[in-house]
Amino acid sequence: MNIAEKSLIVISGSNSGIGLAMAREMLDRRHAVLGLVQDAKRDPVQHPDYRQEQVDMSDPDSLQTRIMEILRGIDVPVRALVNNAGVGRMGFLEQLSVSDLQVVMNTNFLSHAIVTRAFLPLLKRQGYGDIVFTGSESALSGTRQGSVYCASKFAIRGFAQALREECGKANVRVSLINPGAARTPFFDDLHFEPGEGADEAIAPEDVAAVLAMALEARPGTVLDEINLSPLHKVWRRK
Amino acid sequence: MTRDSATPLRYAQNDEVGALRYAQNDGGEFVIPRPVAESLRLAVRDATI
Repeated sequence: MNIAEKSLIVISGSNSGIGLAMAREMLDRRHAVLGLVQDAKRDPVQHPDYRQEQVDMSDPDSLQTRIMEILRGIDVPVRALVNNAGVGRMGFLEQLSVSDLQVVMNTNFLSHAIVTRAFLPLLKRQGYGDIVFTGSESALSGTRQGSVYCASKFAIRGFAQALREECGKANVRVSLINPGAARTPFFDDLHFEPGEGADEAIAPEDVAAVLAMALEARPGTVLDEINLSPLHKVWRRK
Repeated sequence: MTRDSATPLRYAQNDEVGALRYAQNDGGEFVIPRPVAESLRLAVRDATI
């Protein structure tokens, strides 16, 4: 097998929603996948080239130690790190607790910075690799009831842009994928969701296809940022 | 902050137990423990920016 076939894709949040679609897409493309997940008991992937490790992405204090443990067990090239895990806490700012603010910023931004920092020396040593972030349309403009969520996604966008400038010399590419409303369990605990029509939400598989495109781009080219939106933007209250 | 105005970064060294240590701007360290550094075959030359 060549490197692309046997190397590892690390994906956070790989057992649900967009991350799950990404994991399946990468497995279909003959990569091995290591998932970093909040609840390792939940494993809908069930594939011989897939394994997952439990990490608490909302707890930066424990994350560094946990990621080092996981890194120690990696014995194949890491083709890509996909920082995908995320949570939503929506509402007017007065409705959000300090805990809500911390969980969103820790999970959607700080954890990705910590995980990326831990993997970076390995990727630089390899002299190749991709770091991909799942951003959001909320990384592009602020919206009502999305203050902290938008802030976390703006943060990851700025982080990705800066990191891209830092990593180019080492041939490590950094990409940001900004999905609009996607039909995933992300909305299970929120008070709104995309419309029911097929063109009123993007599919998680659409985002996974963009990940594949980013990874398979000519090595000298980086797909720095890609935005996806449903053809018709329709939200409905539950 | 521009690169010119940033505090000069001191970069990594292997300490006596083989951990890879990145000096940080605040005086702290980002440490990749020896077992991890060995497992990933990381050396000082890999810790440059």
